Amino acid sequence: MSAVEKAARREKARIAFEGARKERTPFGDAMRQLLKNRAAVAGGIFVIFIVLVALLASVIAPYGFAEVSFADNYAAPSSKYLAGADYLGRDILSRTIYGSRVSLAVAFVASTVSLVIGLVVGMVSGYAGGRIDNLLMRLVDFLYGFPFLIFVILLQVYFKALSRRGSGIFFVGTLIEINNQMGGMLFIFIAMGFLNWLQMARIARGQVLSYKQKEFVEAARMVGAGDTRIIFRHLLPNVLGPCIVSETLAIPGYIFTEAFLSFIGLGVDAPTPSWGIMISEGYKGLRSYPHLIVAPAIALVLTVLAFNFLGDGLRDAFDPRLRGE
Amino acid sequence: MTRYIIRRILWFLPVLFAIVLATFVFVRIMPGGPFDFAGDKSLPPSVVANLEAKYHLGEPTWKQFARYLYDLVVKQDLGPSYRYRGRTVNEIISDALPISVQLGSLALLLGLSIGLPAGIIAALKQNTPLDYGSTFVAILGVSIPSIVMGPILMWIFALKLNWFPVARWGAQAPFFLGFLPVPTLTFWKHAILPVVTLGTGLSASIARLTRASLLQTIREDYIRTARAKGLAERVVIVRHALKNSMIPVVTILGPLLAAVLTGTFTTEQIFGIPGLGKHFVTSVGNRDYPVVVGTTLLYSVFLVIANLLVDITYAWLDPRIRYD
Repeated sequence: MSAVEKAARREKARIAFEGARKERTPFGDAMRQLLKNRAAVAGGIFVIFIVLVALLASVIAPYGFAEVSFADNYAAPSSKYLAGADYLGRDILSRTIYGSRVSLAVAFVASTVSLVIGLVVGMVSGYAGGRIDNLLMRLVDFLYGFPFLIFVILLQVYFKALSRRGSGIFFVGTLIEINNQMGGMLFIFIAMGFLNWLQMARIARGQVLSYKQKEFVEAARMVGAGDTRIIFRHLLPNVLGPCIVSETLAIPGYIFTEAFLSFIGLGVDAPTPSWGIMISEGYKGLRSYPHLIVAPAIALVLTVLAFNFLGDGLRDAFDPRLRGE
Repeated sequence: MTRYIIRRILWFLPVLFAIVLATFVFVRIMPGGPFDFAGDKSLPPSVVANLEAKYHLGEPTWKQFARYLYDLVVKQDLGPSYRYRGRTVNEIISDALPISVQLGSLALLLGLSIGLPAGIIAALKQNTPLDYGSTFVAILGVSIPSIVMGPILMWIFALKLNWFPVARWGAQAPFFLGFLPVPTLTFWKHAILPVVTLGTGLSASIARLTRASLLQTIREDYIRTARAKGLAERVVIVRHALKNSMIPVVTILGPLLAAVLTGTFTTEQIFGIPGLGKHFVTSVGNRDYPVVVGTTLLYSVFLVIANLLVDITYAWLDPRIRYD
């Protein structure tokens, strides 16, 4: 047997061996489970669709969101305006398309902020234990008593007044400029994440507590890994999954909160469209022009439904206890 | 248990104090004041100065806060409203709160009476068409916010079919025992649409939670034990599974209770109901400081009490939970 042949056979054996022990990680199992769940897949596809709509809004929308045409005010749905026109003659379909940007922005910004803060507090609390843990968890208990929605309303009124007044401090001025570019909602989205990390911290802490006694952490410590390395390399990947699932389930709440704020007149600044503000305008004209409310209401419900299906599917996939036989 | 409850009630005091302090200071540092009116309605500076002197707004904030706390603790007085002249916050709350309580408790009853059975049936018949059907309806229900549900119901049943009135509330003060309405036909006709608007979302989230929790409980070892010792299936489900599976459901009922009883702005706004929800929102915009602080305090009191009730219910549902 030549050396070349030997090498080839060894290579073949290696490939067969690798194939035979193709890993079945918990993550892989969960993904397979998720892909079997048709509702979750449909939800995921719709979320991707809405993201594309939001990104390409300026390409696919037939009109601009602020294009006023007084001759067409309250126009019924027709071939010119597929979903009708509002009180200023602005195309409702186009405004609904642009409105997806605000809803997705809140979904993304608030959940990221909440995830990061919750992870940091929860992991530090669980990993450090002792007095720090006690202190942080008392803080969480304390903040649980705070009325979330009232503070969101108070903060939003504050931010609105702030952005009208402007600020002399350089970087605050720049931030206010970015905020105004986003229809005046950036600050409140960040604030919503800041107010909503408590649940996330509890989950992250619980996960860290259960993993930090495991053998792999001990092994890592034995070969000399420091706290930072253990937290980021060994604990974080395990903690992240349940936290992301829980955050996905929180997204409908963020979208509803934005719609609620816009509905009560504390949302985006005109003329930026948001589904909440369009529903608010629509329900006031319900008696005479019921078509005003249809497109934004359908868009809002379908988007939230998609996030709910996706979140439910993720939770079922990552939590084997809920799986049926 | 008694000691635990007393300890918890003592813990309320710093929490409520912090909430009142935070709200009190925060509304005052917000730009704009209670007497800034734009255009024709704007007041002469001398009038504003007089009004501010009357309400001690020129004083340092800590002094105002001390005065507020003194009135609150000693006289149970939440102060005057700056916007509704001649009305106190106590009067505003005692007029509006009963209506919100009526709406909220009816909606919660509806939510429980649909949500619990639906969730239980779905869990017991897991992976059957019945389960898929009710799970789908429930997930649809939580995805439709009241700002969409309200207009849909109003359009169909009030505007097209003319079965129910479009707006307003069918009961007025004085109420029996301070909050119970006279259950006239007018009351129910006005109540149905808002109660259904608020109740569908509640029943859907209760159904989802009940299903998920019951599914977990049913797989526990003690359920197998209960079956093995020959208990009737009904007893196994009701006494062993259901009771234990209620813990997550009760957990969300606490904040829900506080939220619906103190008024839900959107439902009240859509149906023109003079409840407390409106005051939460408009008082902030009006910079009506005492109303903001008063309504926030009221909501927080409801919230901490509801959460205490939740924890007491835990101990009853699961005797392993002890608080000593």
